[in-house]
Amino acid sequence: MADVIGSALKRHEDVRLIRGKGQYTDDIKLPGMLYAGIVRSPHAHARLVKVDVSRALKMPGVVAAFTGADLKDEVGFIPTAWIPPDSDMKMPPHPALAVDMVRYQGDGVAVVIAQTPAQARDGVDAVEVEYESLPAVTNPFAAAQEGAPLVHEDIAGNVAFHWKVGGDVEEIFNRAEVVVRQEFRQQRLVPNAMEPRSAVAQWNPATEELTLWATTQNPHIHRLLMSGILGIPEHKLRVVAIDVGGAFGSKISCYPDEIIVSWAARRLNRPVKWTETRTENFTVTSHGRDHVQEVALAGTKDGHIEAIRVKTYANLGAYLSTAAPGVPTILFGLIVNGAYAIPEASAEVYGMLTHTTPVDAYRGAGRPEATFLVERMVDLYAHAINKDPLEVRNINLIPAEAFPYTNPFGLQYDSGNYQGALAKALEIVDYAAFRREQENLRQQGKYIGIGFSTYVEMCGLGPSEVAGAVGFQGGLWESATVRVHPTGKVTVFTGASPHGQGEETTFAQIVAQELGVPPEDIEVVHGDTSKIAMGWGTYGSRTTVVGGAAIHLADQKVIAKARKIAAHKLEVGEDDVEFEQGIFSVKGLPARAVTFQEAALDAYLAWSLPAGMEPALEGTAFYNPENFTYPFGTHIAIVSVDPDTGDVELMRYVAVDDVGVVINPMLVEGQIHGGLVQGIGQALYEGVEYDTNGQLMTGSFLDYAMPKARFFPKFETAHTTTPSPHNPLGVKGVGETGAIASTPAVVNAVMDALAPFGIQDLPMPLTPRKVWQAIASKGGHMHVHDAI
Amino acid sequence: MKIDGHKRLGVSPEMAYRLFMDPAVLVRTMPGLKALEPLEEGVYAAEMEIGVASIKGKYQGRMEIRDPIKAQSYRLVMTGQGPGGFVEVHMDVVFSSQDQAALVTYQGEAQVGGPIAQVGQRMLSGVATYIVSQFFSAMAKEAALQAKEA
Repeated sequence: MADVIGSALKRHEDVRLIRGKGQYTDDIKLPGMLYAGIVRSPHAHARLVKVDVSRALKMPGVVAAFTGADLKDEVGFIPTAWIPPDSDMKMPPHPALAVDMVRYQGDGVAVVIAQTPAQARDGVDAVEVEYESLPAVTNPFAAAQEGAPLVHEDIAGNVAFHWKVGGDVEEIFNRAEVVVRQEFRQQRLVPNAMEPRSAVAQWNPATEELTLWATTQNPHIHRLLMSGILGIPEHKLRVVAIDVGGAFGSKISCYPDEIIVSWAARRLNRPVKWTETRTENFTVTSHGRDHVQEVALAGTKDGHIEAIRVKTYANLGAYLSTAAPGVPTILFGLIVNGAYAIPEASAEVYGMLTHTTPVDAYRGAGRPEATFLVERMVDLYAHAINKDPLEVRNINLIPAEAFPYTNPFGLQYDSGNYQGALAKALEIVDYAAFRREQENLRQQGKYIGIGFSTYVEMCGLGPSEVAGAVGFQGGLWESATVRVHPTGKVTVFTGASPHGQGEETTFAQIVAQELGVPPEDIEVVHGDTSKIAMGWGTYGSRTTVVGGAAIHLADQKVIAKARKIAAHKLEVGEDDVEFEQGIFSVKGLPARAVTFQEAALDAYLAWSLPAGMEPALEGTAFYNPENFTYPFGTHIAIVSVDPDTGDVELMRYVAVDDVGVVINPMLVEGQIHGGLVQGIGQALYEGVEYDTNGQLMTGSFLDYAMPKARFFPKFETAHTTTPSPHNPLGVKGVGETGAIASTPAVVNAVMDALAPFGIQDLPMPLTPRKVWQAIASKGGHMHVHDAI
Repeated sequence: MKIDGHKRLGVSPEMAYRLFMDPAVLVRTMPGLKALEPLEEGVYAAEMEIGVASIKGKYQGRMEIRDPIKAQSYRLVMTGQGPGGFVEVHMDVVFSSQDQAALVTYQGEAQVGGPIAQVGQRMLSGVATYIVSQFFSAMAKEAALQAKEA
């Protein structure tokens, strides 16, 4: 059997998914099931004067209707699971249904439960709510200003936390030869998973157990949080994520809707389902990014960066979502030096409450916001000292011999060869030829640009001791059980909760390789708290890194036991047994052999086991990583800008990523493509806008630009391979690299194209209108052309 | 969004003012206004039916006439709420005389929020302008009718 690790196996899950045979939460139908609809505030900020469900209760099919007043004594507040240390964090109470105030458009005020979804919707329309509207604030910087409307009365200045990290860099800035300052707006994004959220709850009055099927990336975290909120002990609460159609971070959070249906199912003693509409997905499912950043970089005239200083106002929305406080702090502030050997750095973050949809992790979660600012600052610095951005990168990139490299905040970058990835990218793009062509085209009034992003990110979340130290209210290790059945078939139970990443295939490949069992003999089970001991879920590019490593360790336990059984059967010492490709054989005597399947059968029959050995064959392991992993690479974007229309065309996109050992190259390619379109989407197309009253102006696909396949060239991808030295599989994680690296590459390219107009920075997304206006404000392109 | 404009009515400013104050006339002329029930002096409970494209909804609301100065001006405050969201209109209406006819000038602001605003954002301003101009055209017709009867 050839190596399974490293081969492009087709996705095992696609056999059901692409034939429409997957089962998503909304596909669940239970006898006697009812349907919930949520009454949501059309105001971003208002006092609830009256919520009257009496008319709704008279509507056909309506079984029950509840308000915040009905829930408030029985359902606890929804907590965040991340409390950054030394940040004086204030956690505002977050009721599942608002009691006397609504704080963002979409905040739930009542639930109507009916026999059909349509009757529930009609019932929702019949609920009478009287609001007294109040002024709202949506921008995180504006929220920090004196006199801004307060989101929560007792949280002064709307500051949920104030977090600082790093040394005192003032002295360096005071004496630096060159200081570059820039403000960046990381616009708010909507994750837009293909499957909206859904939840089905069922109460079993006989056993007093509640089962919740929900679209979640982390069923065990949901169980832990919901147990506290609902007062149902963990052993009586089962959370199941069946097929989940994408999430990108938006299904980490423990949402009010899931709590409402759980409470209602118990109260009514009937199963209750709620499924989000696309409109609700835009208004109430967590958003991403949304920073106002003030950045300064100090350096020498000859191109050595000496310090970087970041002050960020991070929008958290109206309440603190599950992972929200960790995203703009730990996952952002600790890595603002990027892939550069910057000796000193500091980051200061204001976590701001606003009258907007809660913000949580979105693909990359903090690291795109950090990578963008440092990659842009390198270009602005290069411009300021009149050097080529590539030269500045070459001067400042951390050298390969410096690994493991400790960054200014104490993170230890595990391994890297940044120059190697850059060199590989420059084999694909002839940089000198590009600059010549650029110059020629400028003479003709045509503007092309090139942008680099020589990024690093931290993922594979993560070492649990560090998780605790940075305020995550949980562990970040992972569990695995590899259960070999009597016939030698294998079921793998993982605490990771893949929802589109294809780990049913990746994990089977790891087991197939290590146990020598064909991949089709392996089934991967995930997402059910009643089947899986414990798990922390799928996010932060951790699934293969941490979950995969746990499977590897479980495999070792299985192999160790099977080896003993084989040695016993072969009547030789354990050390005399070799194990290769599923066969145990006596060293030097390959004919004397026991297959893995035979050893498995012996383990179960237990007719003749080594003395003292327990029957059966399975291994359980809990893997707690000793460090994060640090994927890196070089991305190059080439764009052309039409000066007459402001239209940006992405002409080429080159991505050289080093994600360590690759288990399935096809899945890695898919992850990179997906990440790229989301990252490029942020650079050029996507962005949430609120009006001054907190109304979401971009609440549908008419007004929120989702990137389409036709917007992109064929991506040119390549890899270098620098295994993670501390990960048992050598993998580093790939889920977020594309979204982290690509945004600054594209913006750098557009700014390079616009350099002749004297334009150095524009806020994202770089829509034709914005680009055209910038060109026009600089006197238009004809003028510049004439001047050349 | 801002709403402003003016309309000539072929009656005296006094008559025009009276028309604008008459609930029966308002129900006839204002698009989507189904009923006006007086609650107190200058305050009415309003029932409206408005739609943007395919998203139509019934709204319950209030209409208030504030600071009325006979034959000269008043301030209209309308709030409505329904499944499609909410509408709030604040509008100053001024009556003056021009070429022996009433010139009605209006200037104000409308806020629309909730699901309709979320999906119909691009159309709202156009729709609002259209509804308001329909209203004033209907008023002009009403005025012409009154002038004829008089």
